Amino acid sequence: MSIKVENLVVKYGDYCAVSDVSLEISDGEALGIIGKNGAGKTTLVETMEGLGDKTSGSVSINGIDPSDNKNRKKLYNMISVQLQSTNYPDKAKVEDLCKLFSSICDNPVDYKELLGQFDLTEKVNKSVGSLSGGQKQKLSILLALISHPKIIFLDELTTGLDPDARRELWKDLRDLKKKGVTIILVSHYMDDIEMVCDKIGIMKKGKLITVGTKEELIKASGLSRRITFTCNDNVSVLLDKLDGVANIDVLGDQYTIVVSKESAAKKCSEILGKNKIKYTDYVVSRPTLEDIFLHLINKSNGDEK
Amino acid sequence: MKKVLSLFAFELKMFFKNVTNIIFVLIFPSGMILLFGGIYGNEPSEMFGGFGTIDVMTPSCICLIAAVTGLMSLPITLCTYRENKVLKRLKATALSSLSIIGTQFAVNFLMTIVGIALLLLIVLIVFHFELVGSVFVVASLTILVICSTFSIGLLIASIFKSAKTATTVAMMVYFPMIFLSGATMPIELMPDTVQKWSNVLPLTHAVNVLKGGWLNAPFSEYYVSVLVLVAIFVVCSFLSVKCFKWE
Repeated sequence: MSIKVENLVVKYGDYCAVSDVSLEISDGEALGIIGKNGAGKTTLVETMEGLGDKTSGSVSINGIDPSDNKNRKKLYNMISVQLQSTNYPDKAKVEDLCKLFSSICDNPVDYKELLGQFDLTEKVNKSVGSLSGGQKQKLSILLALISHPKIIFLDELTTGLDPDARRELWKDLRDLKKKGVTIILVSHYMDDIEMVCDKIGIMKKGKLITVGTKEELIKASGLSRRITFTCNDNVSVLLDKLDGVANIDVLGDQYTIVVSKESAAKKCSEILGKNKIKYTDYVVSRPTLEDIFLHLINKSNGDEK
Repeated sequence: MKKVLSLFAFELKMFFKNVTNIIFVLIFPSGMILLFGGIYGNEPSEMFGGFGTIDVMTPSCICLIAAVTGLMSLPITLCTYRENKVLKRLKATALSSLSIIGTQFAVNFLMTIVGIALLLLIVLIVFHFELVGSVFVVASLTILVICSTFSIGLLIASIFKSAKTATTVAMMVYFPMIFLSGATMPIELMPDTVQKWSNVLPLTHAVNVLKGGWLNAPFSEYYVSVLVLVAIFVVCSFLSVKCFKWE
């Protein structure tokens, strides 16, 4: 077992940022953590990285307690982090930062190789201030990879990256995973998570409400189909009565309906037809991670009431 | 140690990339000495108790350098790093917490010494300055001045969270101090009331102490200022260790 978190609680005064979280991650596995803003994702991850103090519970990274100051050296030779929003000094040169991060770890990767991989070779002599937002983000990830980590924590991975760069990065991360690197990823982008992660954890108000593969989450959510179609009439009221509707989302003329019963997909088109409603682009597909996420988050809302 | 040295080399480079640092640590103090020395020379004057302008100004200019590195560069860099999560990112490496903060201290310390060396070189070559006091005493007092000034800077960095506030506070501490403490203009030129009030400022005591050692005054004339600096160092260091936040 590579990472083990047991009954972790992190409190800031009375506020409980992480509440009784337990999870396990094996070597070479990738875990994605999703949740709304303020759900406690960053606090959880930073506590695992040894950057935040826990209130109770335990974290073990390959048998090492990250909260123990004595383990710092061992810990940071093993793990590496990309923080949510590090702004490296504008006047620092890209190469200076690469050299710095190479020299402070025991077993660095050749940063020139990484620069090539991240398409930053031309920027080696440029200052951080002259880089675009996406390039800065790439640099931040690159600096996390320099130390040859066995476990890498990436917080808000692809914020500011263009679609092309994101695809590149997904590929790079999957390659890392193949080499046995464990990845913990926090993101608001569902496709980041789907493309990279084996397991997904959903956090809400400090609690890890569920962890599992996408298939397991689909099962847990009870959702079976997602229906999308375009329609100019307001049909929400008609479809509301449909058996097994979990959510109806209307954006302009674009309807997205998530249902828990397989049969509802067929019934939905029947209702539209019976009422002589014009609609186009009727597509039935599997629910997306976003559907599952929104459903599980809102379902547990209901539980509290 | 090698790791700490590479951080030191990086931070030293960053220090030189900051134009404000270069102007206020290397150019401004030397310029002041050249300007005032050029006007008044180093002839013994009654106002300075038989010493010349250079004799009196050099220790003040040394304090000026320590004030720039200690009250401005040190806290502003630390606060900016904290605000930009650089401190936190460095903490997530094999470097120890002490070496991360210690490097900032050391880089600014070194640059203070470089600034002082440049200043002394100028007064030696241009004005044929001769030290009246003992080198050992002057060196020890200089270190005391630097350490106490730096401890104030560390306290500023510990108390104020944002880089903007820290910059404002550092400026508010720095500018009145350099004019009222006798570091830029001899305090002897100021009205009596101003002279009295300037005793509230730590830098006044720094100037007193250095002048005392520099001009070989009897210890009894400036020991109060030495005690004030020691007290400042102890209290500010203690408080900044207590209050310092990584983010």
